[in-house]
Amino acid sequence: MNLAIFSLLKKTSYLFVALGVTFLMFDLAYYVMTTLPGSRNEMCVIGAGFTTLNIVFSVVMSFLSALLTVGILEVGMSKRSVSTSGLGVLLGSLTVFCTACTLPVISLFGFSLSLLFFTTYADILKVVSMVLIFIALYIVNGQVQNKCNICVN
Amino acid sequence: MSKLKKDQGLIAAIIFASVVVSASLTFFGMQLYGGGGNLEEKIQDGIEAYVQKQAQPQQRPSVNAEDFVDDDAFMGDANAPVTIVEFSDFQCPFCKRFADGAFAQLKSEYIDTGKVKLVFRDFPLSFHPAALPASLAAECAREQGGDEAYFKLHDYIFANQDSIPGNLTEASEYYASAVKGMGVKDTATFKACVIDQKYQAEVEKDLQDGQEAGISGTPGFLIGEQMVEGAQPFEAFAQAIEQELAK
Repeated sequence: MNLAIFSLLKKTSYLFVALGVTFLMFDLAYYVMTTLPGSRNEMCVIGAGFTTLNIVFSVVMSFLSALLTVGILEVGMSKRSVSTSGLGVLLGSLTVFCTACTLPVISLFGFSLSLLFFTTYADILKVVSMVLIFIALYIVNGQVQNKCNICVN
Repeated sequence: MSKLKKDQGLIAAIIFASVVVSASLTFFGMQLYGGGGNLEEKIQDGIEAYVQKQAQPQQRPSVNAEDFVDDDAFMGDANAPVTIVEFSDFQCPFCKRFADGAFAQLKSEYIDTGKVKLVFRDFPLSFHPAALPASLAAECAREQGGDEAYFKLHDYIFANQDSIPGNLTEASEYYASAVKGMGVKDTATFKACVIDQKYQAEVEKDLQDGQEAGISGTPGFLIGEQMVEGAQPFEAFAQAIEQELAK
């Protein structure tokens, strides 16, 4: 599979967007990890989720989320169906897919993010969120390459 | 897309990334230098918890239970060779697990035999709203009935942990009816003591001392110069105590 979505990072603007989104997502994940109550080693602790595995998972998910964001922006910009304002680009880019792709991308993206933040970081939920975001990336990658078999371009 | 629009997009992207990265670095910097230096400790705790789930006592340098006794309620011989300081949260299920489990054997084999003095100190966690009122109530009971009343109410609270109230007014009523027969004669004074949070400073001092000692959760135990974290089996406590007794 041609991972065109990775090649988007060669564009300077997308690289900066990806950097910003990665940091933003990781900051949110860090805050959740260090402030959510939980248990560890048979005791109640604040920040029980702040473990090495969760940190690594958050870094990976933050990067993948950034990649997905960049992919959605690219598809939105290339369709030329959005306004030139920043927020307009972001919001408009979410509408450029046909329903067949918009719903799964947004829902998969949303589910992945919600699983990142609002779970006890159980291993199975980590796996599910990773699978969901990879599916969303696959769909967006297809859009970037204009290889969607459903949409008529 | 015109060059102007491309440049605008690039500028917007750079500004966005700069703001987010700067804010992140500032946030992490505050954690390191302005937040009590907890980040390194939390990373270390996280790594230890992931790599080594253990029921063995953890060796922490420069910690001595005797330095954290303060003036809190204790049971056992005041001159016992080994001191255990327990930092506990009345609403914590693991603290209850210790109270219902390993504590009984600890008491019969070490406290009642004069080998160990157990000091109970408060470590109410922020996400347990009923913990602080319970701590205050126990201190108020101790004011009138001494350590005996304190530990009777301590046992009562853990036995009824699911129903302890989080509201101070409700807590004062709840505990006032509970302390009858525990050596607390003036319930009006007791209620006022709870509602006015008379021992708030005492509880906060316990919390600060616990944090200073390296307690990161409840229950946490200082056993001589060792630390045991969590509601571990009796054997974990016995091992630490025997090591301290051998010194």
